[in-house]
Amino acid sequence: MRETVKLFFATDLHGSTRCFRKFVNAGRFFEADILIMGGDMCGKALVPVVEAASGQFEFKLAGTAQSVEKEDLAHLSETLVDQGYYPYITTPDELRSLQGDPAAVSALFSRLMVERAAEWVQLASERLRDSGIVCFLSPGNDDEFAIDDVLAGAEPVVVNPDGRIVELPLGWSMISVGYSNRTPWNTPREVDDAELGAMINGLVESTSPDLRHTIFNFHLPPAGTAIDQAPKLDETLKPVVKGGHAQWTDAGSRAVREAIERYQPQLSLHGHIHESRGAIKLGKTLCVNPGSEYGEGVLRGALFQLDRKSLRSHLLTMG
Amino acid sequence: MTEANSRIGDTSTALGDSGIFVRNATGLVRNLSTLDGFVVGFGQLNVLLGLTEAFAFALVLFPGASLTPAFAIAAGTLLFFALVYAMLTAAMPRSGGDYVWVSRLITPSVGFAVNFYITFVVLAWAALNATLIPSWFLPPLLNVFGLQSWVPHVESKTGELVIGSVLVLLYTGVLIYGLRKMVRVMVWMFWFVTAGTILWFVLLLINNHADFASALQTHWGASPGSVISAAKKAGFGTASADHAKNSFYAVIFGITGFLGFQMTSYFAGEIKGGRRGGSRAIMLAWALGVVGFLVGCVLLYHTYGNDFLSSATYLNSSAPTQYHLPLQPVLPALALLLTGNKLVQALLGLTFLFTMLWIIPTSFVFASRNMFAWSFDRVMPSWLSNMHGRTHSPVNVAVVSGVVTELLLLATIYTSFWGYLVNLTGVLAVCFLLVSIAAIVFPFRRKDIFEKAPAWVQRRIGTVPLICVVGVVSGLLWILVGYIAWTTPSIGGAVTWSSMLSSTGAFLIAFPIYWVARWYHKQRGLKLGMAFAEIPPE
Repeated sequence: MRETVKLFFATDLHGSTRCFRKFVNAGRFFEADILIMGGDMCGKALVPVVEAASGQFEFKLAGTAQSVEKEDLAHLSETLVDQGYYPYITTPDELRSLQGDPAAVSALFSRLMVERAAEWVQLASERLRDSGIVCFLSPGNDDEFAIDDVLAGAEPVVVNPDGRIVELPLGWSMISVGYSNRTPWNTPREVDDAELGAMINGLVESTSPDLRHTIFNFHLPPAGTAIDQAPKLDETLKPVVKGGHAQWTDAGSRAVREAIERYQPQLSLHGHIHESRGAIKLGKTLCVNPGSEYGEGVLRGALFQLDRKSLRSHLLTMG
Repeated sequence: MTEANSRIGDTSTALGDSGIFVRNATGLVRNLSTLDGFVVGFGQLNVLLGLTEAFAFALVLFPGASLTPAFAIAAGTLLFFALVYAMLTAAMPRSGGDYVWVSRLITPSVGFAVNFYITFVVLAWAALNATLIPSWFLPPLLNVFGLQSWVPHVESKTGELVIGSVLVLLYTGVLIYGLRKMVRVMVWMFWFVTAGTILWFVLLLINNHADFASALQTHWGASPGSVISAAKKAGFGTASADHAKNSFYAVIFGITGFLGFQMTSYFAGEIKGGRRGGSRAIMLAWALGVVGFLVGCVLLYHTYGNDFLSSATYLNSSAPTQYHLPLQPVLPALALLLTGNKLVQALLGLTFLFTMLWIIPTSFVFASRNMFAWSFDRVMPSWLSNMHGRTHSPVNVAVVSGVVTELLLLATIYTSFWGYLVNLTGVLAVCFLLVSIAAIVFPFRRKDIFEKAPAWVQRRIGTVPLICVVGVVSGLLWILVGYIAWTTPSIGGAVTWSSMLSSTGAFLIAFPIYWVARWYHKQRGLKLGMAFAEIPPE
């Protein structure tokens, strides 16, 4: 009879297909039974790769103009996709048109995000089918709602656990909330912190889980901890350096913290703040944010071992 | 959360200079500039403190050494080390620095040992700095304010213990109750020190040796000639061959003065164009450090003269009964002789004092950050990273840092810790050799990351990756530094089994700590070595 279950958690891959492949492979690599993605699957930037009159394909990255031959296009695309970008092969005319049409850019982003999400879901479904590994892909505040339809069609191997309670082996369950509180970027899934608290409390109260055996999967980390520290920004969103030191500030959620302190689950999973990798205790709750290094194709994650009664051990990874 | 290489804007943002479209997503911030990154690295490098300590320690241990060539050789040596950090930062801007690089590219136990030892050195240096305040930095200020009679008490072992302990307690408290509350004071001190350093350089420039000789006679009742001849009578050698040899050995102190410029690598992910900006910030800090130290050396010799500095230091350390000047011949004290104006003297005195008060808490912050990482990686107990329930501050890490620093303070004052501990530089050389080796193996051990690094990091000389060449040169230079440190008795006393153990202990003990943690977690079903293992991406 099975006495332990292994769970692997990663978050904030932001479109990096290399990291997603690692995420899916982590199941067999770590002998995990459950994979959980904590949100922010979608990438942030679209790189136009423009076919020039010379026949070369030109693009700019980090402000530097570069070009490749047609035969190197596939390799370039793979490199950009692995780093989380959306490469878009286009013409000078279409690019000019896009520059003056925000709605068209927005639609293009949505299309590419959905396509990338669909590729990922297909990859996970193919690799994990018949493996016994369940994969939870939970959206975060940066994820467009359009990807929810993609996630919805992939059960039972790939499950979107957002906004509900899902059952896990050995009598455990998980409650997920991918929303964040307000950010300066007006992202797709954000609400006031009080509303976030109401969402969490409503979910907990309505499902009445056995809190000793419940895992919280909230994209936002609890405020005022070692796992929610982000660079302090000035009014122009530039990080602040004062007196020779970069300044840091709390960027998590008070509501999440209050919920953890009130309900005291054994384990609470978080992301959102890439810089604040860590595992801390809030009362009896172990709160974990594995951080993110997706731009380098490195998958940061956290491995947990649970038995019927408790969380036995955990390990932060950076593979 | 922070996204390098991008810019603010919604999807309506035109391409502009960035060449990409960005959408509304968290963390698309305007990044730190290269200049901001440079300020952090250059602040840690700290020219004022580097010169003060190099002139004090090197001239005691290597009489007659000239520090201008020593700093020049150190700068050349560290150029390759700076390149190692710049290239690894460019390839892995978000990894957080040498701990992760060595763990990822060599093996986690070695990465932990390197980081454990560097943390030990940083705290040991904080303890040393805390004792230097009463002995070097407060007496000149007391002199300015007419409190000369206090100097013997402040300089005594009891004075060092009381003042050093108060500082350790103060900074432990600051860490517990919130470093952010100290930010305004730290910022104020930083700019005060920056302005004061410029003032000091200007005064050194406009005062020639005759001006200094006159001031020495007027205020301290001695001439440079009398000090030089007293030193000769006391046995100070004049053989130029010895001085040349000693100048070479003094490179050790040039190197310790320089270290810190690489600190930018710890937060390179926040710098504009993360990969490029972080590397540029490191190289800029190194380059400006070269200018600062070399100009400083030239100005100091221009005003005080090598003979006077070497002779006064020799007398004070080797024949104290023959030393009759009212203050020790350290740079904070000698700065008072650059002007007769009491207000300017006070400003100079405060500049030197504030540079110490600014640098010590940065050691605490650095150590606490590393201890958090060890705890998160399960090498150290989880409770170490617990935060205080009410203040949300890292109370356990703060207390551990404070206790360790206080113990090191006691060792510094009441034992021959610093004289006997062969020298931290010798073991640091081993640590930095390992970082260089990490650079050498990088293209082979993590080909995936290497091939996605910026083009300049992937550059090759023939078929050999440039980073391997840079790593080899850097490694060879650290072997040379280590060799000098380990085989030069005057740096740290005789090389004996006990001195070898005391100097290497803090490095070697890291391995059993790691292995015990690995065994402990293995019993609970987790393999610690998996923390850095790459998951196949195919």
